Amino acid sequence: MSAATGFTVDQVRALAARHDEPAWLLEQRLAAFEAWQAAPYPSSQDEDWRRSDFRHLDLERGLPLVTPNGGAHPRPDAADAAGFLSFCDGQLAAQRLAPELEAAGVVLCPLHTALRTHGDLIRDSLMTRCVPVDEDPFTRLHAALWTAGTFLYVPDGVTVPAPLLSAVQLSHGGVAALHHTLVIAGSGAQVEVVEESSGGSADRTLSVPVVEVLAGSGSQVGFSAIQTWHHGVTEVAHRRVWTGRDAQVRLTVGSLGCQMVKSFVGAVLAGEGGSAKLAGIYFPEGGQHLDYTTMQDHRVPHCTSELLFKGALYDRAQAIFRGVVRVRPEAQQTDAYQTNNNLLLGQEARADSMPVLEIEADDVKCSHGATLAHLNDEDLFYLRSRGLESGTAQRMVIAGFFEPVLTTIPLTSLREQLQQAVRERIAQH
Amino acid sequence: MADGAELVIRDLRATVAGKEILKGVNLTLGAGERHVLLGANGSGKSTLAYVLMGHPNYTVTGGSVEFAGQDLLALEPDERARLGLFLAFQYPKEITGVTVSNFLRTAVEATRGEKVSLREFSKLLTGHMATLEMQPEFARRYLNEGFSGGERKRNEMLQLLALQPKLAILDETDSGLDVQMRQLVANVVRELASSNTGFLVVTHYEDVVRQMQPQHVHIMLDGRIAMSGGLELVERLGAEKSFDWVREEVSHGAVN
Ligand SMILES: Nc1ncnc2c1ncn2[C@@H]1O[C@H](COP(=O)(O)OP(=O)(O)OP(=O)(O)O)[C@@H](O)[C@H]1O
Ligand SMILES: [Mg+2]
Repeated sequence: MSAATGFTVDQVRALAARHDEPAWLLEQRLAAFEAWQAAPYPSSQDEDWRRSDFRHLDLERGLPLVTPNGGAHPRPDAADAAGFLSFCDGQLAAQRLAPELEAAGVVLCPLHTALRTHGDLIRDSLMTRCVPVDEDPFTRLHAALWTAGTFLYVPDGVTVPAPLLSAVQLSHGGVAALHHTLVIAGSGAQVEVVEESSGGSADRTLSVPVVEVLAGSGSQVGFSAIQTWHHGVTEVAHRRVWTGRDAQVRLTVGSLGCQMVKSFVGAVLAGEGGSAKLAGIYFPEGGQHLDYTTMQDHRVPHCTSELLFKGALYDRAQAIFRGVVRVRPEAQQTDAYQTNNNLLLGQEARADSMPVLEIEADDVKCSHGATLAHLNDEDLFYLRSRGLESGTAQRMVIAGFFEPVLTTIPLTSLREQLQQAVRERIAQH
Repeated sequence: MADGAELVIRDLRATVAGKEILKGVNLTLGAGERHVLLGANGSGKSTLAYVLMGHPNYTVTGGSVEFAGQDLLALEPDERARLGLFLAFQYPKEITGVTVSNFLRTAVEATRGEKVSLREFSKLLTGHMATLEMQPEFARRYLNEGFSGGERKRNEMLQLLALQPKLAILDETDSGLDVQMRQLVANVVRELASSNTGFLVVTHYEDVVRQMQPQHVHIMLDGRIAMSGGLELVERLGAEKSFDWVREEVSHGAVN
C-alpha cells in the first residue's frame, strides 16, 4: 500500500509523533489500526449494520485527517456556560473555564494536553471499557486515528454549577474528523456537558466521534450531543455513559445534519442503584438517512433506564431505530423503559422501529413502545378552532413534538438555537 | 371582541363516516342571546357543535349557516374562530410540547389579528386564571396532557375568557365537574354574556341552566331541533327524568 492512498500506518505514527504521545497510546493506536485493516467494514450480516451501507465512503481510498487550514475560528456563543473548549479543524481554537472551577480541580482541556497531567487516568479509561477499541471496525478506526479530543475531569464531590460546552467544528470538507470525548466524573460530582458538532461540506467528509462518559458513584452527569453537520457529511458515532453505584446520568443526542448517520447511543449500568436516561431527537429531510442503535445494558441489580427517542421526517428521509434493552443474568430488579415516536411528514419518508429485548434475569420490569403517526387532523382542528391558521397549527404541533426532549438540554443558548433550527426546518417545508 | 353576532342555521344536514346525523337543523340565535341545547345521548348535539366549527370528519350535505353576516360553511375553522365563533370541546385534544400559555398567546394574537405584548398577555392570563381558581404552574403544562377531566374543562374556560368570542358553544363544559365548579362555569357565562357574548350551551345539568338564565331552550332529537321554548322545558325534563315525552309529543304533532 502506498503512503498516498488509504488510511495509513504513517498517518498513525505521524499523529502520535506530532503530539509526542506516550508509548502505550501509540501501541493502542497501532494494534487498532492493524485490526481495522484486516476488516475495514462491518459485516453486512450484522444486525446493527445491515440497514446502512457505508461502502460509498470508500475507506480504502482513505481521507486526509483534518488539519488546521488557517481559517477563522468562531468563538462559541456560550455566555451561559461555566466553561468551554472549542476545536476547529482538529485544533484547539478557544477555551475558557471559570477560575473557581479550576481551583476546585476541574480540568477541561484537550485530551492531548491532559495526557501529560492525567496520563494514568486516561490510560485506564480511554476506550478500555465504556467504548472498547475492538467493538467494531469504526471504533478501531477511531482508536487508531483519533485526532483531537475533549477531556473533562470533575473531582469527587465537586458540583459544576452551569453547563460546560465542547464545540467541534470543521471549516471545510473532504477530510476525516475523529474527535474523542472523555468525561470522568468523580464520586458525587455533578456536571452537565453539551457537545456541538458543525461544519463540513459536500465533499466526501467523514466524522467518527467517540464519546465516553464515566460517571462515578453517586454522581449526576448529563451529556448532550447535538450535530448540525453539513448535509454532505457522513457520521458514524459511538456515545455511551458508564454508571457507577447510585449514579444518575442522562445522555441526549440530537441530529439535524449529515447525509448519513450511524449512531450508537448507550448506557452501561455497571454500579448498583444507578439510573440512566437516554433521549434523542432527529429531524431529517431530503434523502437524509439516520440509523440508530441504542443500548440499555444492565449489568448489575437495582438499576433503572429510560429511553425516549423522537423523530420527525420530511421528504424521502429515512430513520431506523433499533433499541436494545439488555438485562444480564445478575441484573435482578431492573426497570427499563423504551419509547420511540416517529412523525411522518413526507410522502416518501420512512421510519422503522425495532425493539430488541434481551432479558436474562427474571425479576425485571421492562417495557417498550413505538408509535408511527402522521399529523393528526383532529389535533390540528383543535388548534385551528382557536384561530390558528393551518400552517401555524402544524408548526406548533411539530415543534411541540420535540419539546419533551429539547427541554432536557441544559444550556439555554444551545437549546434555544436548536428550537430555532427546528422552527426554521419546519418553515422551509 | 365586543358585541355578539347573529347565527342563523337553516335545514342543516351533515354526515359522519357516511351516516347522516344532522337531519335538518333549524335554529336562530340573536346577537348576544343565551340558548341551551338539551337532548338525549347520541341525539347529535356535539355533531352540531363540530359542524358549526368546521370539524374535518363531518361532511355537510345540505342547508346553510350564516354567522356575523357571513356564509359560515364556506370558511376554514380558523377563519370561523377569527370571526368570533368559539367551541369549548367536550373532549379537548392533548398537544404534546405546546404549553397552555404559548398556545393561548398565539390564539389571542390570531383572533385579535395583532401582536400582544408579553406584559399585556401575562396580565390577562393571570387575571383569568385567578377567576378560574387555577394555579400559576398550570400555564406551563403541555396542552391537556395528563389533565384531569376537570382541568381540561377549566382549560377550555380559560381559552373562552381569553378569546372573548362573539358566540361561544359550550359542549358539556360542565360535565364531570363538582357543584362548585359548575357554579364557576355559570358565573363565567354570565360575566361574558354581560359583554354581549352569545351562548349555545349543551348541558345535562338543571342547575347550570337556571344559573345562566337562557332566553331560549331547545331539545334535540334524532338530529333535529324537536322542541324550543323557555325554562319551562327544563322544569318538565326535571320532572320526567327522560326525553321520552319529547318523542311522543313530536310524533303526535304537538310541537311548539
Ligand atoms: N366519527 C363517528 N363515526 C360514526 N358515528 C359517529 C361519529 N361521531 C358521532 N357519531 C354518531 O353520531 C351520533 C350523534 O353523536 P353526538 O356525539 O353528536 O351526540 P350527542 O348528542 O353529543 O351525545 P352525548 O350527549 O352523548 O354527548 C351518535 O349516534 C354517534 O354514535
Ligand atoms: Mg356530545
